[in-house]
Formats: sequence, C-alpha cells, structure tokens
Amino acid sequence: MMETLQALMGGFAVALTANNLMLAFLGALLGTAVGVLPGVGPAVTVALLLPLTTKVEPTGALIMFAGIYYGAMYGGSTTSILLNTPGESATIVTAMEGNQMAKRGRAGPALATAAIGSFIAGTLAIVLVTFLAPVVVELALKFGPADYFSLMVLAFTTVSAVLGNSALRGLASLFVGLAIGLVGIEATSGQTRFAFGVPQLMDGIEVVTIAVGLFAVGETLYSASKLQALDETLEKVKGRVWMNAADWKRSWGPWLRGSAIGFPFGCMPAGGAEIPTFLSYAIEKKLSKHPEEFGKGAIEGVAGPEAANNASVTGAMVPLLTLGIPTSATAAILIAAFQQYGLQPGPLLFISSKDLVWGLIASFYIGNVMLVILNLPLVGIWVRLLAIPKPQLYAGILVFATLGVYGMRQSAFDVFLLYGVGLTGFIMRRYDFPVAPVIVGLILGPLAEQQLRRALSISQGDLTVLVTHPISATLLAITAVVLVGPRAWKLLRKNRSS
Amino acid sequence: MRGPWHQFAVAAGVAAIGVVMLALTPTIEGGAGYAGVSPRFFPVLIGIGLVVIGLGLVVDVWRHGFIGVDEAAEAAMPMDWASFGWISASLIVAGLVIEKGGFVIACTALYVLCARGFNSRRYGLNIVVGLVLSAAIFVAFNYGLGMTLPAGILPIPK
Repeated sequence: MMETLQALMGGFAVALTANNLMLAFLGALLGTAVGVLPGVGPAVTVALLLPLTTKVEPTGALIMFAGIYYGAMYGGSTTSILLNTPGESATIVTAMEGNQMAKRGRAGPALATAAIGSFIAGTLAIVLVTFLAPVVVELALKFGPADYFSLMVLAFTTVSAVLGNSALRGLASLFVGLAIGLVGIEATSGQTRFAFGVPQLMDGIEVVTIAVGLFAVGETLYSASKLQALDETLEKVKGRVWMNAADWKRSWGPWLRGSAIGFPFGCMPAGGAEIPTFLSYAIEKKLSKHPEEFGKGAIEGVAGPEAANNASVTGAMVPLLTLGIPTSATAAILIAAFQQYGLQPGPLLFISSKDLVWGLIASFYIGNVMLVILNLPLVGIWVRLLAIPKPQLYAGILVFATLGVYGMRQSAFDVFLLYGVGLTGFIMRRYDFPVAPVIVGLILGPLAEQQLRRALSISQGDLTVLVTHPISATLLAITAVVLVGPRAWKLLRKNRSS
Repeated sequence: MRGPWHQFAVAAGVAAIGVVMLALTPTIEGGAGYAGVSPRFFPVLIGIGLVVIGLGLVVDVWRHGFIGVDEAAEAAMPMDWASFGWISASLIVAGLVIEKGGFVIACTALYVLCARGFNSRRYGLNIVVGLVLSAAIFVAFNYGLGMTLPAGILPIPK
C-alpha cells in the first residue's frame, strides 16, 4: 500500500513536468477534436494520431496517447448524443437515450451529465487501477508462457465470440486478423512468411493501415455509396446548457452505480465495454422513479451507461498494463504504440520502466480533470465540428488517413494497401462482421505464437503442458464455458420447454 | 430460406483465404528447433481455422442467411457505384502521385475526388480547402514534428 502510494507520487512527479502536462493536454484536445468527428471512433482516432509522436520520447508520447485515448471517448459521446451515430458499440446506449434528450431540447444537460459522469467514473476507476495493478502484477509474475498463451486464447474468444449477431462471423474476423499478423518476418526463427516477395510486406503490416483502412476508409466507402439512404440530423444545443437540481439528483446515483458496474468488466482480460453499458441501462430503468421516460430521454439512461463505459475503459488499463492483454480495438492500438518504442506491456514493464508506467497512471488523474474542463465550456466548439458538411468531412478524414498511413513508413505501397484494406472494411460493414477482433488478432496473434513456442520449448514439444499447468488449465476451461456455455444453455432450455 | 448468392461468396471467401494459406505454408522455411514447433505451425492452425469457419458460414447462409443482415433494407437503398468509384479513384490517385508529385498535390487531388464522391461539385472551393489543409499538415509535420513527407515537384525547401 505504502509502496504503491510512493510509486504513484513518483508518477505524479513525472506527469506534472511542464512538458508532459502540455503533451497530456495536447492529447486530450486532439483526441476530443478527432473523436468528435462522425465516422471516427476512438480506435481510428488513436491510430490516426500514432505517427504524431515519432519524435517524442516514450514516456511523453504514451502520456499523450493516454490523453488521446480518453479524449476520443469523451468526443464520441458528444457525437452520439447530438447526431445519434454511435462511433463504437459501447456508446449505443448513450446514443439511444441521449439523442432523445437532445430531440426534446435537453442536449445541454445530456452532454453535461455524460461529461461529469465520465469524470467521476474515470477518476474512481483510476484510483482502483492504482491499487489493483500492483496486485495483478504480483500474480502475473507467476504466469508461465503456457498460462499466457491460454490467457490470450481466452481474450480472443471473448472479444470475438461473445458479442455481435454471430459468433462465427466474430471468429472469422479474429482469424483474418491472426492471418494478417503472420505476414512478415517471424520473431523467433527469423523466417519470412506470406510476403509474396514484396519487400514492404517483409516488415509486416502496420496496425495503423489495418485499423484506419477497416474503420475509416471502409466507413467512407459505405456512406458514400449509400448516401441517399442515410439521413442524419444534427440536434442543436438550445435552452439551458447546465443541469438543474433535479438533473443532479437523478444523476449521481447512476454515476456511482455505473462506475461500480463498469470497472470490474474493464479489469477482466476478456473485456468489452458494451455489456456493462447495457447492464447499467437495464438497472437504472428498474430503479428509476420515472421508468416511463426511458426510451424518450431519461437522464439516468445517459448518466449510468456513460459512467459504466468510462469506468470500463479505464479499468481496461489493468489487463493492458499488467498482462499486455488488450480487450478492445483501441487498447490493441495502444499496445502498438508501446511496441513502436520497443516496449511490451506486462508485469516486467512495472519493474523495468517504473517511471513510464506510473507517470502514465498519474497522467490519467490529470487528464480526467483536463477533459471535464475542456468539454463543459467548450462544447460549442465541438458542436461546430459536427456541422462540417459530409463531402468536406470525409475528404478531410481520408487526407488524415493517408497522412497517418504514409507517415508510419514513408511508402506509397501502404497507401494502396490502405485502399485494399478499406475494400475489406466495406464488405465487413455490409455483412455485419465485427472489426475489433481483426485488430486484437493482429496485435495479439504474434505474441500468442511466441508464448506458445516458448511454452513448448520448455516442455520439449509436449502440448499437454497447456492442460497440466493449473492456471493455464483453468483459463482454458473458462474459455470453453464462454464458447459453449450460451449454446448449451439454449439447447437445454429448448429441450425442457418441448 | 437461403441467403443471396453474394452472401455465399463472402462465406466462401473466408474459406478461400484459409485454402490459400494452407497451400502456401509448405514454402515457409525454417526448422522446428527445440520447441518442436516450426514457423509453419501457426499458419497451418490459422489456415485450418479459416477453412472450418468459412464452411460454417456457408452452412449458415444455406440455412437462413447471415443473421442480423437485413437484405430487404439493403435492397431499399441501392449501391451508388459512381460514388464508390470516385472514392476508390481518390485513394488510388493519391497512392500514384504521392512520391513523384508530393504530399500536398496528392492530398489535394484526394480531397477533391473524395468530395466529388459525396456529390460535392464545388471544385473551386474544394481545391482551395484541400490545398490549405494538406499544406498546413505538410508544414506542421515536416518542420514541427521532424517527419519527412515528400515535397515532390513543388519547390519547397527541406
């Protein structure tokens, strides 16, 4: 406990230097500005801004990325409320209820309760992260390669097979991501795989190209080709912007409950912020004195899910930093940001790069304060970004996409690759394949392969090592339950009722 | 109720990626080493996975089509292939021009073509906005962040 506080103080000493404060502010500002653009979710925001930091030293760069990460989340909820286009699945609920509030002239209070709720949830969650992370690090140090491999298998399964309309399509996305991750030179043996003799492919495929291509270019192609059919109306922020006494009274409960629901979900190396937002919405609807307002703009339905979303997103820092396991596309791209500097998140990072890790954690406290300041008074500016007409908006997004992709390696080949990936993204969007598993597979696949080979070289090729180690066996058992459980349950119920 | 032919194509495409991977895997060199696992082990695993999942998807389409894909709604808003073409052209032109012509020219062209894909015919305005945006990015990244974006044919000092 004392050690943790000391480490955190050390972290604040790093984060509070003028340079790092400025980088955190810049990150939060850019993250909000880009994240607010419709069609640009948090994952793309982080990916687009990845080349920005090539000349910044790692600690400062990662502090800036943390700012971009949660700035994009804040920006995303503004878009959801005013435009009803959830940039990612975790803001679907916010879009639903918040947009209804905006339609009834209560956009201001909706934005305010989302921003303050995110601040409270983010702050509570980072306090919990501070004290939980060292505990998980202790545990993670006991993990062998076999355990890591099984943990990654569990993460793969939950990211791809639990959500969405079809587990099979989620798994297809995951395996495509794993396949893309194989391209290039393999780390252990130094052999080139699936490069087709193209020198650019020998270095592997940049995660930026895949993320920006699948999300931003795919989205651009889709909305251009369905232009007449897609109709969105931007709600104006009119009337009282601030929350009144009744709003406060109705918001604080959902904020706290949302935080309590979101955090544990974020911490699990299984992840996704979607489930806690839906859970929080359902609970608030049950507890509310005004259940009839739900679906027509109940403030609890914005306050709770937004808090749950933010607590979960912050909680996701636990598996990310201590185990190196990303639980969302955005977290996977953050891992790519670490890898740019030759750093691998995991328990060893807490020992080898203590200043960096704790500086990063401390910057979350500071960033949360910055964001609530940026978002409440400046909301008028962000709203103006939403009013950019579609042709100019998407053209601008593609210019930034090209910059982001070209900037990583200075290669025209990557621009063509970006288009190719965009076509794939278009098809995935059209046939409802989830995109996040591709990114997670791409980042985590090569790491899983390394861990498996390490495990097998210790056991001299004996695959049973995966089930004879207790931690690994437990993790695989959970995976099996997650994968088979829901189907078995369905069959059981069907049999019983017939 | 079967799904439409293009859903079959998508499902089969997933399996086809797996088949191509499995066909190419024997060309990967490298021994198994101590681990007893060669660089071919994971590709085979993933290849088989893709084939199995692809076939599963074919069965899905055969039985009821993709769940959650509303083909009736899709048919109600037909594809605008012209727009699709303009957007495609914008990125391909950018890729062709960026090294020789430079970042600013490539991105201005990209901007105008993409805006055209969204039915904006105000070419004058789009050229100016595109030019200002790409020039601002060029200046900020080349001089501010120390990145090297290609100057191309424009006489810009390094």
